[in-house]
Parts: sequence; structure tokens; C-alpha cells
Amino acid sequence: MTNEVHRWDQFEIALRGPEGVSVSAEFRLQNRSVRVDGFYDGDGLYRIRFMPDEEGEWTYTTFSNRRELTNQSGALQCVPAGEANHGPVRVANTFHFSYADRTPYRPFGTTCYAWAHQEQALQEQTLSTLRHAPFNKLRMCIFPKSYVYNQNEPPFYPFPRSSDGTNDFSRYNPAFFQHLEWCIRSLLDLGIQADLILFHPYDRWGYSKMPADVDDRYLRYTIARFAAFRNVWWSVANEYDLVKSKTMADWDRFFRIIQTSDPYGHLRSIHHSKTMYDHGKPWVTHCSIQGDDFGSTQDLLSRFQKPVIYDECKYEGNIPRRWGNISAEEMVRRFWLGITAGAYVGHGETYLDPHDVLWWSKGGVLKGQSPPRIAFLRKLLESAPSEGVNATSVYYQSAGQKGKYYLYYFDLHQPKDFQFELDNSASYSAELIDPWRMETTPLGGSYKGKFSLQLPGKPYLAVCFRAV
Amino acid sequence: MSGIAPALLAGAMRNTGNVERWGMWEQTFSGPQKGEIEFRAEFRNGNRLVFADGFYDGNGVYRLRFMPDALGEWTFTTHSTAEALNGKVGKFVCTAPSAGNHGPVVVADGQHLRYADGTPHVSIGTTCYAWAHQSDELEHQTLQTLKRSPFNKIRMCVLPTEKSPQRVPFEGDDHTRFHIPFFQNLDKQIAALCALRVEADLILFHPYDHEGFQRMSDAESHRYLRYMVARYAAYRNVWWSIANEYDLVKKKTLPQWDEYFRIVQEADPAEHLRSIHYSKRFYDYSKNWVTHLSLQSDDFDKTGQWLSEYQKPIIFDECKYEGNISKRWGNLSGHEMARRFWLGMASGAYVGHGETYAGPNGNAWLSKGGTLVGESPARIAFLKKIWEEAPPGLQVSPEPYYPFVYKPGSYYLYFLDLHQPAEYQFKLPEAESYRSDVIDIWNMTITPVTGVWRGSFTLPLPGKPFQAVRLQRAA
Repeated sequence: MTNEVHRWDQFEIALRGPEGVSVSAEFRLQNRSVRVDGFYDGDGLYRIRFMPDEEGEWTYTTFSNRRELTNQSGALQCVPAGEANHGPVRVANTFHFSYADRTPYRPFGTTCYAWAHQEQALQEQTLSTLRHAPFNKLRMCIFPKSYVYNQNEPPFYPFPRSSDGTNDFSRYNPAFFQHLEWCIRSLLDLGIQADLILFHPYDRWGYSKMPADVDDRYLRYTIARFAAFRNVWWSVANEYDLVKSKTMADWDRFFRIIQTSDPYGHLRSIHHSKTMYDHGKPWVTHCSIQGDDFGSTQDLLSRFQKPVIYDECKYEGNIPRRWGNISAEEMVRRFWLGITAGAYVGHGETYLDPHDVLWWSKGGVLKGQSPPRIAFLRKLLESAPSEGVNATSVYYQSAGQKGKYYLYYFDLHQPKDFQFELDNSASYSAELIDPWRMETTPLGGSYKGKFSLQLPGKPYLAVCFRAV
Repeated sequence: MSGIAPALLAGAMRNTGNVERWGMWEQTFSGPQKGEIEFRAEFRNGNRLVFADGFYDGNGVYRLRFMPDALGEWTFTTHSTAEALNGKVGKFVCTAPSAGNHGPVVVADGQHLRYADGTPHVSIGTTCYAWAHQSDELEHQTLQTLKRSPFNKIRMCVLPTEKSPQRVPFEGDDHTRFHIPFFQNLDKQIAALCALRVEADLILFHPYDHEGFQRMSDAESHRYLRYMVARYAAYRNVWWSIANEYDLVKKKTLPQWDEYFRIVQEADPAEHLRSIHYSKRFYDYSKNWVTHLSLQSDDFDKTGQWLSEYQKPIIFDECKYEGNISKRWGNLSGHEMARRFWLGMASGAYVGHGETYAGPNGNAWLSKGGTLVGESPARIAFLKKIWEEAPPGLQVSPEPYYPFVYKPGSYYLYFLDLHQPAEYQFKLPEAESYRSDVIDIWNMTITPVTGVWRGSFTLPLPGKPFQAVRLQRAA
């Protein structure tokens, strides 16, 4: 009897053996061969996880330096993907994304850095919030986080840790990683991409300054465990340039290790504080930006020829720090500025809380007013041409596809009328959009080429043209 | 005999009466019925010698204007190629200025502006490029509007910007012959601005040219500049803006602009403020004839850098305008215009206003003046009052977390812009205690926060955007 696995789901081999050995497997489909590392999961158990990306009968053979783990073989039947399973997200049309089955994917991310390191009840609440939120990507740290509003100890540590705070970097704590798998799977069930942050500087346990060989092993272990989840993205670091113990050569090496070890080529990027990483390096799949200089989007797009995501453009909230106290109106405005510049934007929320439960870090509930407006924009963008919208004008920002679609955003400008210049290859219907009130008003008529439209003379409005 | 003018010996010295300090002294002389006459005078006050050009005012009348800046007796002697205008001598006494006359605006300390008598000048400008080329009624209306407005500076073009303007500066296309009534009207309006205590930031050249002004030759341009200085330097409220959007005047080159600055500087006995406004290409404001930066920009977070680089006051004369026209430079909301004033002022600069609501008269205020319909002027008046009540000479911090201006140990004014913190930890000197106000820049409210604060303290804030916080030393 053959094991049946849906395309882009997980197939898992479990083998018994002693801790501390290496194990891997080769999966074959006719002439294709995919090499996958296994990992130790505690209690004398090894697992090898595989995400088949093609239908058909795959066979496998295991390899190990231990006799009982090596040369095991078997087969699996990869059957068509189930409903709502579109595979992992890839770059598509240079500046955009799609799932592996070519369904367009438009990232509308949010940020809950340390949600996986909170009490179980709070994690459940986070998931329940996400179920009703507009977000389809979540930035989250693998390591626990020590920072303002984040002083609690995590329930699990990634490495065995003695009572005096010494880490045993030679072994892993399977419970920590099993828990993260539950987190990733829970996100997968909600259709949310897990943008996994592999390193970060907010550390009091020693995870930001591990020896190089520990870093490298940790990366391979993490990939062996998580790469078979189709909703995983690799964010090599958050604010990499604030991790003072590492050099640019370290970051480059991490990228190469990920690229070499990950059998599926999940998306890879890195997030900065002040100094942008060179996203032109070949192992970077997209630009993960901290910034709100949306005017320079075109520079980034044309320089790197990769999608741009403004993962951090400050957060809706009211904390004293300026990165965490923009209004909901401003958050929404930034989403519109990013999208109409041909990029994507990420959300975060930082309202003061008596228990220090701020969404941006611990999750919980959303208190802000931007998420419904972000949902409105997401819906609008998902009705745009499937190839994605590219910047089409900069005087007032617009993004679209010639002959099909234009979305203008007037930002703080309040023209009473404006002469649009669309192409002549199609006739367009026009809608006036109020991003804050979430209202769409058809303007009637049919438009092409150069024409003037009367506008309300109010700021923060948009106009959408669709080919009829 | 050397050093003593012959006319003095002849005893022909006229006593021309008194004039107040920074007031305008004026004498008329009869001369030939043409304008191509060299006519100037030297003014003496003790051992000081100051030169001023006279100008032709039509019908054989030559005028000599002078703004004495020091008290006491002044004498003058004229020099001319025309016999009738040469060697005229006289004297007058410069008396104390009347109330409200603080003298011309000067640069204070590499960052601020003040009047010559030391009174701080919080420059709050507006822009009406062509207001002085309109009908008498409309010009009167503009002045009435200014009277009720917060504005104490106006950017205005000398040369018309419109097609077929109502008032023309030259006789036809002859750029060597001034049309005298044009300038007589300008005299009247600059004097009217002076009476309203509004500085006239006179734009000498611009690219909005329907009348061929760009084609003026070097000689014609120089002659025009000297005429302008001769005619207007004695008005204490005059500033020289060599050009608006100089880089769009395609017929002129950078060396020409430099030359214009030098001519103005050399000719102007009163040393009025001098700058130039650009479109895309920054003029090199470090050049020594530039007194301040006149910017078209809304890069307020560069102020600190520019202040330390240039050591000159910065005026964001054009940071886009309140209005609703289709051009993005002219359709800011009143809220955004007010916000930009706060951003600029809290960064240590000054800011200019303009208004461009589409209407039957086009972009009324910006070009023709008339009435203001926008919502920002009231908020700008509110801001102006706050700044006028602040201690003079506020400093800036080069890279502030939230922008603020301050006087150490006495006064701190923060603008939180789009940020909406529910609280913020201020760090002030331990030595003094402070009282604090939360200022809503749009609703124009000043709400004291209960308590007295000192050192490092966390102040509760409304958690709304567009608020300012003022901390003043408790009495």
C-alpha cells in the first residue's frame, strides 16, 4: 500500500536512533532527485519531512552514519492538492508573487514578533484574531524576544538551558520546535504565510551571539524541521544591522546555507534598521524594507528587479516611540502609498496595554482602526489584474497594467479636477474610492486617453479605472 | 581744500528737515526730460559715507531716496552728468523711530531674523505673485485681507506674470524705458505694506513670461536692477528675491544670477535681505551675497543639516499651497498647510503660505491676491502667537527624535506631527521645574497639564496626532 500525500502537503518518515547522528533522505520522481535532511525530535526519534511539489509516485532512500537509520526505502503517491492548497508562494512577474499553482498572492502582512513565546491562551487569542483579520502573512521570530514591553520568559527555550542560564548549544529542545510547528501549522490552516525571522538583536539569552558553527547548525536544523511547511518564508534577520556580533560575511553565509539546504526554495530576505542589506545579492528573493520612503520605490524596483515589501513602515499605536504611534489614518495612507508605488506594505499595531500585550509583539487582539481599511484595499487589489499592478505614474501615484487597469491615489492632495492620461487601447470605467470610509462610487461614463474628471476636492481619495 | 565739496563753501546747503530712523528721506530735483542720466548722492553721518542712486520719475523729475539707519545729522551731496542735478547739497536730522517702526529685517545669529532694533521677527510669509499688477479695487482688497491676516511678509513679483497685464513696467517692448506709472503704483503698494508691517519680498526676475522679460539683454537687466534698488532700497520693508524658480529661466545662466546678486549688493546702501528661489536646482546659498535660504521644498527634516551647513536663516517660502487645483503644488488641505508650518518652525526654519483654490478668478490669492478662503490662516495666526510669546533666538537640536525648538533651561516646544503617543518621557535639565501645555494645532487649543515637571519625567498626552507640547520654566 502506497502513502498518499497531497501536492505541497507533508510526507514524514519516522525512524528510531540515538541522539547526535546525521540522517537524510533522497526522494526520487523518475529522474528528479531531491535531498532532504532529517532531524532529531527527542525520545530516540528521527523525522524526515518532505513536501512533494509534483504529482506522481516518489520513492525514497535514507542515508545516515548509523546503520539503523540508513538505507531505509519506501514510496509515496503525490496526488493533486486539496482545496485551498495553492502551494508555496513564489516571485511572479518580477515584482509580484503567486502561489506555486499560479494563483496570485498579494502580501498583506502583519507583525507579531513574539506571539509564539506567550502563554497558550494568548496564542489561541492571536489565532482567533487572525482568523477575522485581513492579513495573509505574519512576521514572527523563532527566538524569544527581550525588548520594551517584552520582559516575560518564554515557555520554551530552543536549547537545553541550565538554571544558571547556560545554554547547551550542542542539543536542541524538541518541545520548543514542536511548539513552533504547531504555530506554523495553525497559520497554514488560516491561509497565512509564516515569515520566520531566524535571527534578531532583542536578546538576553545568548541567541544573538552564538558561535558560528552553532548558528550554521541551527539554520540547518530549522530548515530540516520547517521547510516542508508550504507557508514558510525565511527572513534571515530582523534589524540585522543591530546584531552587533555578526558581520556582513555572516549574513551572506546564512543566506547561502539556507539556499543550499532548503529543498523547496522558499522566499528569502532580510530586514534592516538603518543600513539596507544589498538586496541585489542573488540569494535574496525580495526586498524586505524598514522604511516609509515610498517615493524611492521605483529606485528599489528597477535596481533590484525584485518585489518590494515595506514590512515595517511604522505601526499604528500610541506608544512614546515614534515607530509605534502613527494613527490608523496614517497606517492606511501608507498602505495606499506603497501599493500605488508598485510595492507591498506590512502592518503592525502598538497600543499601550496594562498587561504589556501589544499586537506587534505578543499578539492578542487588534484595537486599531486600520485593519478594516486594509481589508478593503486587499479586496480591491485582489480584483486587479492577476499579474499585479506596477507603477504607471508618479505625479500623482498610480499603479496598474496598461490596457486593463489603473489605480490612482491622490494622498494628501485635494484637486477639484484632474486631467488623466490613460492609454488609448481600451475604454475604462471609473470609480471614486474613499479608502478611509471604504466607499466606492461609480463615476459613470467611459474614458480613454486624455480626459478631465471632476473630483471632490478632499484629500486621501483614490480613483480606479477598469477596462470595460 | 581737498575733501570739502565746493557747494558747501558756497553755502547752498538746504535743510531738508527731519526724518525718523529707518524712515524714508526723499528729495526731488528737476533735470532733463529723459531717463538716461547718471544721478547719485553720497550721504555722510560723522565719518560714515553711504552712497545711494537717484532715479528718474518722469516729467523731468528726479528723486533721491534714502533710509538713514543712525540718529543724528546727515548731509548729502549729489553727483550727476547733468549740470542741473550735480553738486546739490543739504542736510537733515535723523530722529528716533516712531512706534511700530523697528527698522528693516536683518539676520540675527546665523539662524534667526530680527528687526534692526533687535525686536524678533517671526517671519510668516504668504505669496501673491501678481497682486500689484491688478486693478485699484483688487489691490485695495488684498491689502485689507492682509491687514486681518497673520502674514508679515509677502512674496511678490515686480515684473508681471500674466498675459496682457493691467499694469506694465516698460514702454512697449523697449526694456530701456521704464513706464513710470507702474513704479509709482508699486511705490504706493510697498508703502501700504510697510504701514501694515508686511515685508515686501520683491521678486526681481521670474520665468512666467508672456511679455519677453527673459529676453532683456545684460545691459537692460542691470539697468532694471539698479533702477529697482535706487527706487526701493529706502523702504525698510523691502527684501530682494533675485528670482522665483531661477532655474526655469532658461535664457539666464548661473554667472548671470551671481552678477545680479553682486549688483544688488553693491547698489543697495541699506543691505536689505537677499536670496533666490529655485524650482529643482538648489542655488548655492553659501555664496557670500546670499543672506538666507529661500527654499521650494518640504524637506523639513533637513533643516538642522542645512542650518549647520550654511549658518543662515532658512525660509521654506514654497512648501506647496493650500487649495484644490489639479497641480499637486497647489492642492494641500488647510490641515496639511498648517502642519507644514509647524514642521518647519519646529525644525528651526520659517515657512511661507500660499492659497490656490480654483474659482472664477483662477488661482486667486497666489497670483492676484483678493480674499483668503482657506482654513490654514487662522491656524497660522495661532502658531504665530505662540512663537511671538516664546523667548527669542530659540535653538534647534540637529537630529531630534521629535522636532523641537528650545531655550536651554527655560523653554521647550515640541511638535509631534503625525505621531500620537499616549505618553512621552521628556528629559529636561534637573535644575528648573516646568509647567506644560498640550497644544492642538488644528483646534487651536492650549491645555495645561496639571503638575510641575523636572528632569526626566513621563508626561501624559492625548494619544491624538498633530499635537504640540510646550514646556516653560515655572515662575
